[in-house]
Amino acid sequence: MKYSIFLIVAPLAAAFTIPMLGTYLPRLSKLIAALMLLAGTALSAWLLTAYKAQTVIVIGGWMPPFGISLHVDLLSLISVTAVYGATLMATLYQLFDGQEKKPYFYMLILLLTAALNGMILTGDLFNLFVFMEIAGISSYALIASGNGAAGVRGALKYMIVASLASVAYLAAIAIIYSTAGSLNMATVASGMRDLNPVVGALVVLLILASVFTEMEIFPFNSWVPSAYQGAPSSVSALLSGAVTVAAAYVALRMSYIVFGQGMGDIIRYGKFNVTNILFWLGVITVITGQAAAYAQADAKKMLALSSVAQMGIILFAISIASDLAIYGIVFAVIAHSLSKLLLFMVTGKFVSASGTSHWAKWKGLGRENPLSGGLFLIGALGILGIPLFAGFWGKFSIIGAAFKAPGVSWIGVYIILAATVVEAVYFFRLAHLLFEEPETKPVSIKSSIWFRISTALLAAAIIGIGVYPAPIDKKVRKIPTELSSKNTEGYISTAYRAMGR
Amino acid sequence: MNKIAAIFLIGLISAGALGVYISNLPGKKPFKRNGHNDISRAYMTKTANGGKRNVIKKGDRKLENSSSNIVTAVVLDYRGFDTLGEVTVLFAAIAGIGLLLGGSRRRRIRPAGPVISSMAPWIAAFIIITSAYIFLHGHLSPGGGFPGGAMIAAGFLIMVLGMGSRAPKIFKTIETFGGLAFITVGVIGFLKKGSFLQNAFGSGEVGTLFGSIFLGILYAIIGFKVAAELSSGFGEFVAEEEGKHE
Amino acid sequence: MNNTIFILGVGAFFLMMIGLYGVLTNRNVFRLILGLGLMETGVNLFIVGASYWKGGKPPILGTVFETKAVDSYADPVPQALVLTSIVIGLGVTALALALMVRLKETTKSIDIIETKEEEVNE
Repeated sequence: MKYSIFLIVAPLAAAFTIPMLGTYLPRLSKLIAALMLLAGTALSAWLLTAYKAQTVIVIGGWMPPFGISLHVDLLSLISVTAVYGATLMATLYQLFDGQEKKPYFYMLILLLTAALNGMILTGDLFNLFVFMEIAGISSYALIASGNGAAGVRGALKYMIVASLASVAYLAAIAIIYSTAGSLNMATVASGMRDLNPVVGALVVLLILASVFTEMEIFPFNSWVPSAYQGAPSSVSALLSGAVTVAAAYVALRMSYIVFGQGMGDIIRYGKFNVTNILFWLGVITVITGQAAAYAQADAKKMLALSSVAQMGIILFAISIASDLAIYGIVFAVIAHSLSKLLLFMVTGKFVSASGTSHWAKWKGLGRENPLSGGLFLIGALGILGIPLFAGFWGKFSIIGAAFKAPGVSWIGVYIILAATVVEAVYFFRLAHLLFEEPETKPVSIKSSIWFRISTALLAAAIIGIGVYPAPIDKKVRKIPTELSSKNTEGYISTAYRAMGR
Repeated sequence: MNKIAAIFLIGLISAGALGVYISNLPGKKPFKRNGHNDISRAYMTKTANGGKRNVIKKGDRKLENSSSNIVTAVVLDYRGFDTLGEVTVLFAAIAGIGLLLGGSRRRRIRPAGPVISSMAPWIAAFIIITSAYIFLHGHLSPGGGFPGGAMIAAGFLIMVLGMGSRAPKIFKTIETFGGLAFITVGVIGFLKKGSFLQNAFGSGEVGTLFGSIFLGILYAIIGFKVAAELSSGFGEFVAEEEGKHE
Repeated sequence: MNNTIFILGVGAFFLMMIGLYGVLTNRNVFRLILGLGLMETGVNLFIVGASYWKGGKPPILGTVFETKAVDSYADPVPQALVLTSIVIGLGVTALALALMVRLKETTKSIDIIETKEEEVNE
């Protein structure tokens, strides 16, 4: 387990070599990026199979809370593996099927990977901020690297919203440090309940606002459509397949561990009920996201807004906080990541072949290119949560958990179901159009062998998880026990054991 | 957003902040503590890894950290991983600028008049020598790798504006080796002591220049790396602006 | 509550609010970046304010060697955090300016809101 630090440090080191190699040997730098991501995927998968119990990894030889430490648990390793896999897929797509990019592009992808892994693994609030900023800066540059004015504008919008969020986060850090006297998540968690409830509520609001900006939750998601539309398709796939995974994980860790001290409790500061806020924000995000996606004429914006709605469902599940809900969250995040990667890769092919991202002009593209059309359909079914596809288990468990939960959670069930119908309408509308008889013969799509291999892998994963979830299921079932505060294997007790208290 | 809505929102936030402030008046004061918490106290007495001590005397040796500037000790040693991230932020930003602006449109800058162009190397030399002092002295006095590196970059800036020099390719190599050196120092700690970025060079007498080899090495690396990053980033901007007339 | 800390807090808060007003009411990208810069400065001042107390000395051994030094030093941690956050702010601002230059090149204007629809081809 102590090698987990290299999940963050190795991509950083690989990224540092690229300024020199990019100047003298540009082709080698691309190879290094791809090999690094492959090695990272292998390392994270190996750590996942070798995983036994939660571990605190000390950095610099300083015990927490004095130094920065990484906190490795099952859920974070699963998330890291998902991030690595998604980045690898997106990078291969860009290398073999996208437009030619400078070596710096691949360097920024490596930095983004390192930063997302850092966000997932770190056990320190300020360190989390640093990694969020690295992830932010790399994604602004990556978004702006394609599509001319649209890309630059999307990056600027994202940058402005995210900078406001980081100011909020820093203000919260100042308040936390001067009241709780520490920045280590476990120590802060045990200090949060002693705070004056008004200050506690303020801190929670500020931090959640900045985490929700990355997680695309209403009302902090105004940047999403233009950033996804302006970004090159591989970067849209990254934002949707990797960044949201990390953001959802951070939101979960913040609301259960830092603010809630283990799942299952209602998080409350005085009269201020955080769980309710999570619930309503999730529901509103689902409604607004699906409604806006239905009205979109631009396919990339439509997929972006569908991502927003999926994140809303996940936030709704976080607010339920039962074992079944956690189980559902893990499945939903993985299914969303896989399906959106596939969808954005195929959509990227459609966009570059037809020269436009307006789906109304794609009539007959799928009939001419049955492979791409079929892959699009598989991705759409994976997102929707049709039985036998990956999304089913996530949505099924979340809905089941919501029915069992006390209070008004059942409202969310009907909203999710209604939203899924809307989602099905706009996905099938597009799929139908793709397979319609066109007036003029549509362009045929050329794709490299790598595109076929990686999309086939993704499609196989979506159907495989949908039909036979048992291998993942065995791992995922252990997660709720790990997150629970009553458990001796839980986060805070592990952290305190590492501190020697 | 129109102005009235903006003023309304700001008024709302201000009212909220005032509310938090007032609610804290009688009890715990939110922004003020009298005295240190456990963590900053441990940093200042250098007892984070256990032990009890109230005073650090001149000439004390073999403490867990031998920097007399405690802010430096926190930045580089206790929270060294943050600093690796900080260097990376700057690195990512400069790479982003290179990705967006760096193109084939580079052109030499017209040098300034003879007075400025003959004085520029002198001024630059003074600035760069001072900056070396600043980043080598970071563990003794305020200063360190970031201000030192920024000063070297300022010296380079004078050369660019005065003499029409431009960012040479060697800066990219320095960036690479600076970053790799930082990680190598970290990995040495991992291999020799068991945790990443741990001090594997020992610690000498508090308050002397060579008492803290670990921090000295890190700050020198950061200094060169920051200097190379800022200079090449600035180079991208200048080259871009000149290219516009083509 | 002593005066200096009050002034620091209020000053930081007003800097942030001035920046926020600028960000909310402007469409010009350069002014937006200035507004964000103001907000960052404000929040940095706020963090430094957390380390202040009356009579606190700079936390450098050697200024107050061999006394009951520890209790007279200002808290070093917020100062270290501010160092990091200043450098991060520099990075973000530099990249933002580069984005602005690109926007001016591609659209001949630096208005954040698009006037006509922009083409996407990859």
